[in-house]
Amino acid sequence: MAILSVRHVSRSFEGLVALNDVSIDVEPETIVGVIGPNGAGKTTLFNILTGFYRPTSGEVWFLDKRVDGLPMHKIAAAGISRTFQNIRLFSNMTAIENVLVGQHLHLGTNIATAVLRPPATTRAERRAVEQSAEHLRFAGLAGRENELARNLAYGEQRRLEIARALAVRPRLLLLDEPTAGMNAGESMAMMKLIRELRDDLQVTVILIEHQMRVVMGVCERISVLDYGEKIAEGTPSEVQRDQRVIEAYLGTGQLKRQDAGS
Amino acid sequence: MVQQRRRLPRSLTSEALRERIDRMRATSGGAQLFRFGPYALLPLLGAIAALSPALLSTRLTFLLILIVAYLMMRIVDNLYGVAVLALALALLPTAMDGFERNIMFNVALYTVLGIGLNVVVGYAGLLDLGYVAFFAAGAYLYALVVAPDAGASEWAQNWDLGLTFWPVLPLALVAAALIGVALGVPVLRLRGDYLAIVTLGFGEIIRIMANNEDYYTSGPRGLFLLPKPPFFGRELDTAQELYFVVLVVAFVAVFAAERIRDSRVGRAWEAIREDEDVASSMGIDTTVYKLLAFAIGAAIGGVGGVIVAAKQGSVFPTDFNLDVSINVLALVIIGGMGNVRGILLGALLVVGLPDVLRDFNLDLGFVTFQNVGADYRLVIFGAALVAVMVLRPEGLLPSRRRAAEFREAELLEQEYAT
Repeated sequence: MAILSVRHVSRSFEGLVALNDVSIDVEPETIVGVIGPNGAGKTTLFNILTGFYRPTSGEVWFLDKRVDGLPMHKIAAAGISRTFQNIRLFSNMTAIENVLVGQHLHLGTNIATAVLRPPATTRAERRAVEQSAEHLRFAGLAGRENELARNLAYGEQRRLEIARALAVRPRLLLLDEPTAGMNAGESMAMMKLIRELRDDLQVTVILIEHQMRVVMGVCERISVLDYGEKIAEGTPSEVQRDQRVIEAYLGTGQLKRQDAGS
Repeated sequence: MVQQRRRLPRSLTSEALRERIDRMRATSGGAQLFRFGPYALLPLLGAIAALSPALLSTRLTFLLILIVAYLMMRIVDNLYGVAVLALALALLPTAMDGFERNIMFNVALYTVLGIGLNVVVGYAGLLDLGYVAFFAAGAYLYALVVAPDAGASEWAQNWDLGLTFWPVLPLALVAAALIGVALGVPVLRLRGDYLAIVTLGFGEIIRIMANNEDYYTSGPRGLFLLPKPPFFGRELDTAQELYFVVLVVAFVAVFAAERIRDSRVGRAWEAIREDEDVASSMGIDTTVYKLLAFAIGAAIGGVGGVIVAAKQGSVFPTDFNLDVSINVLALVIIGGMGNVRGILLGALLVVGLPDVLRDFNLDLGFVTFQNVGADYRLVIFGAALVAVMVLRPEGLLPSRRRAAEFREAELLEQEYAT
């Protein structure tokens, strides 16, 4: 039973077709990669899954509930959380405050309880702080709780985005290029963290990634997009051998011969 | 699902975090030295207040107090510093004449308004240039429901509700909050400049309505002979007594605003201000939280309106000019956005200073300029505002976050420059 089912989703922007009839099923507790050349529609897919865009046609089902077209905060409440390709932290808030914002759905404080602060609210707040610290620790940011997000190193910021997304307590986590701009060592550490997300926290992960070493190393299933269409799907080794994928990434043999001739 | 799998080390519990933050605050800016500063400053303030009629011109006292208050608030960046200041403010009017008590009343009133607007602008980041609307709503509500027949509009004469000041306060709170939501709904999608322009228009609409809805408001003739707040069989009718009323309201507002800021609600506002899309992807219903900010800001403004109507004993449409919105915004920005202490200081400067300057004479020994203050006070005031904005664009006492935002902007500028 798939946790996420993308059914014939299309999205066009004023005639430009960013996604065309894409269907993807994601099994619970798997790590799925979405790859494809620039402009293939990967981030558009993420934006549809998180409610940033509505699909032009097609449906998205998550945990047997239709979620396409829901506002973003409802989708977050349903259990989908994400990180961003260009890091989008609350840069003037501290690391732990960033994570505390992620806890929003799991605190019940309203205006009255915020002002009067009954013991239950104080307890809940303390628990939220402890849990946020735990999320930070999980993401490898122990000791950095009170650092402003924008003062964190680049790799730490990527990790903080993951910690913040975890605070929403998602069943499905979408990572948009988690290792972009990282060196080999940092990428390895990120791969380890992604595996822990699934192994320790039972979170299903979909990631967009360009570094093939990461994709092949960490993903169990891969979907390949090209010009808004899904051109291949399968295990890493299947995808690597797929003729259409090779063409999408390297061009066709036809072109090669022409190049050689000229 | 995320579960707590490992026991949390004590160093990461909330108390430990809070202690660490407190320690960071205490050690910043040489504050360690002045840990007991407020205790020392309190008798100083008291001495100034007590001696002032004898030794100093009282206007000069006001300026001194301004400076001491500024120093104190810079040194002690916590609620307790404000409490000390509160005590000082409470003692102050005893050493003042009626004119100065009026100034202090206005300062306290504008502090209340500043706290309200700060919820909208400082916390949620929604630029509201029509804040006077809520102030006017509160004032007119009071005038309409308590007015005696003599100074009342036709409507009020037909509907004698017989309410007094105290029950109207919560009534105005709720009514203004509803008006805040009513303004909020159509402007939800607007950001930045566009929001500012629409709210500006809203403020003017309310004033023009007050001017034209003759049946309800008596138009430009205004509503007058309004009763003062009753208090155990008598009326609070001096500037000093009403100053205490508004002081109490100010402290309730400070208390509530700071607690809301430090809660889930405040964090949600901050997140919206930083990045609205990301905030909603964290599960924050941005519509609800923006409306909530408008409602709370408006509610506080409405309460301010009731108080000012009771103090003046009258309301006229001209009391609710654009100036009010601009002054409140100016004091929030100059004081330091997002920071309650900054707002108090901003109110002292923006509202208090122009009046204090009124009878300031410049004596250079060989030549004396009479009435420099009266003639040039707004020039001096304007120059002071420009100076503050040039030298400290983040405001005199910005919140930590606000200061961070400004540094970020500066760094970006430097990056572009190189």
